[in-house]
Amino acid sequence: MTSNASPAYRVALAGNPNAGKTTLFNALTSMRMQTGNYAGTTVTKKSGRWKLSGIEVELLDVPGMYSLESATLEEKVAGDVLLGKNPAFPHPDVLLVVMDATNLERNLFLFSQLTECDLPMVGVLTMMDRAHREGLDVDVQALESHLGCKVIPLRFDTKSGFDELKFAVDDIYEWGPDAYPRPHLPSEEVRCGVGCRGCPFHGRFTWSEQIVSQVIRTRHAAPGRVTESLDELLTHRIWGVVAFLVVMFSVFYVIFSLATVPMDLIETGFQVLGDWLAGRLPEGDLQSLLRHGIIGGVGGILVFLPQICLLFFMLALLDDSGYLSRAAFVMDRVMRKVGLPGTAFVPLLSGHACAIPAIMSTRVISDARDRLVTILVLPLTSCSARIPVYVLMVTLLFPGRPLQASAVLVGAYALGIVSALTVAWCLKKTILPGESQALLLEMPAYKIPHIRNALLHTWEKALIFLKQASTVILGISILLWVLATYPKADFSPDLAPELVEKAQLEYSMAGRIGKAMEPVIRPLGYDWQIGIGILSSFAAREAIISGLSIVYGLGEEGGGDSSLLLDNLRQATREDGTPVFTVATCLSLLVFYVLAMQCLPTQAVTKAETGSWKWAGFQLLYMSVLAYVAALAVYQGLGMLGVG
Amino acid sequence: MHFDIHTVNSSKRLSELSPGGCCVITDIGIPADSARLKSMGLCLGRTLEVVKAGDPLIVKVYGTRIGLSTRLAEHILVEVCLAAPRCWEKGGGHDE
Repeated sequence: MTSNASPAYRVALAGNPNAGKTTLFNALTSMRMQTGNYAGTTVTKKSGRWKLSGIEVELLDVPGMYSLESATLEEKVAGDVLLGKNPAFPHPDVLLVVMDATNLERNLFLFSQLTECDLPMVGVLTMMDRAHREGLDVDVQALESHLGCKVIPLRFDTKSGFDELKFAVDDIYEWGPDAYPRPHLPSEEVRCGVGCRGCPFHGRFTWSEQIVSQVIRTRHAAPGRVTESLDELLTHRIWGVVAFLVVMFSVFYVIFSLATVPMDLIETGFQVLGDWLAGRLPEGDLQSLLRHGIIGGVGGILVFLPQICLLFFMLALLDDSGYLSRAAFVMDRVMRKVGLPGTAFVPLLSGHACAIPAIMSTRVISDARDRLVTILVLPLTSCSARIPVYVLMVTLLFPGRPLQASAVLVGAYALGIVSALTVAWCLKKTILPGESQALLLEMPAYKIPHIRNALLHTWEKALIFLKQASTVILGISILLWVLATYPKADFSPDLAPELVEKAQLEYSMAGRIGKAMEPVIRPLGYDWQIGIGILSSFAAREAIISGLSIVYGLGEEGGGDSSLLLDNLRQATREDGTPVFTVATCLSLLVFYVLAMQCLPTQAVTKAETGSWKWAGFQLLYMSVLAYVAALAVYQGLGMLGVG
Repeated sequence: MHFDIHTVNSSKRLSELSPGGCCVITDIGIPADSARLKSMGLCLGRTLEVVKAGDPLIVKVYGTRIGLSTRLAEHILVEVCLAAPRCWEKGGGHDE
């Protein structure tokens, strides 16, 4: 066996959440990793290549787990993989168990369960620097003889222990399959409690406490002074909430102030690419498809990628520092009133930057139903793509009156979050009934977050998003282009180009659908031109601005000049000569854009995170109905009050 | 091994304790969440210390802190142990 180096030698990395498993995985594999989902689930599967002395092995990052008793889906998947019960996944060859040295009792509990996987095992002790600071002195040799396997203390700061870890796995490989001695199985009594009638947890914890009392030699200081005093503030009933708001405000400030530069670059990049293509290709359908359909459509969505990445990065830093669990702790009592757990709050708030990373970050919610409800209501929070639409409407309504304008803007954001919470409450009372899962959350010691871990996490998540959404985005961009381009109309050659654009759009399928829609949207105060705008922004809501600027005869480029567009919209009249954009119409349109889905990448991510198009479809349906009914109520209500 | 809620007079609900001091878990009366609680170390016979009272509350179990809702804590019965003022000063845990 030793001479025949098999590339599929698998080493699994298991351990408690927060034990430093991901940091170890990143340190061993660098960038060479692959991510996906375990077949039929939404649990992340992550593996990478790890170079040993002689061979390169596949290192598998098993989801974090507290026990094999599978309280969560992640634990069930992890248990199946380690016990060899997952038919789609071969049993690993070696098991590395990552154990936090400062919390050895609980980590040894998991170790005692994992001995039943019948695999050669190596224990890895992490958090050794903290253990050292706290005066914890672990007798590694004694621990090895208790467990019957190699135990390697690791220090990430001094890189010590990494060679020993390599040699240990090399050694197991040299022995060949099934030959290397397995760790000691705890006795029958430990495994089953007393006479298999007692509590199996009890026996194992007693066993691990006994070992710890023999291997931990000294303990000088009280553990976690820093954590204790920070928690005093950060979990305080009032100051905790204040601190939370300050933290989240800073996160948003960083995102919105840093994202503009790369966003401008991406926008310019796609524009240059489009112009370059225009110079290369003859004018015609192909050029238009590539330039407006594909480059325009895909670029319009990729422009949000910097924001998405920044949000992932900031959330990863917060998570790694230990703060995220405090945020969940502080917000739990408030969130429970609408039937959601405290862990749902940070994703809901993140939705104000972009729903996509926010939906992907709902994986912190352990209960599947709580998580589904959070995903379903998340797109109601006002993401940054709504800002251009809000600004347009508010400026139309209150030119030169900043006070009223800001009041309406604040109202739009409030409407978003209030409706998200209300819909969550309704879902919890109807189709997804039940109280939120009671809070039970480890609050790890605070630490300085690893920038490298956060960067890798961001890279990983951004790739997943691009993989999931790219085909949908591309497909819909092409479809919308076809709808707006065919059938072709004949125009006299002396017509101005922006008028050609306008006439073509009216004549196209999109124009016809918009006109056919008019009876449906008339009660909301919209004419068929606005109908086309709504239709053309189906995939990305901010596209309504370029859509409106085309139907109002400015050409697509006209949307860039907002004062021109504003003038045109103000002067737009219906057939009877009355203005289109009245106060009632503007407010109705604003409410519509607060509540309507109008974002296909989000739908793709909802599908990926819930595992079916069914929930993405439900999300689209309920949000569209909600948006329609609310806009109808606003327009008709204002009409009754005499506001035209 | 199993304590009855009515017969153990000195048992208190975890949700009723004030911070500080160390206690031993004598019963967990919430079957639905017991696997979750137990695998995090909130298991019969284990010692813990309340760090912060209220809802949710924070307890220290072994080397870590766990935040938990009163909905769970009110089903966990504990006996206050008078011997040690702080859990971490003892080497191991309690056992009956």
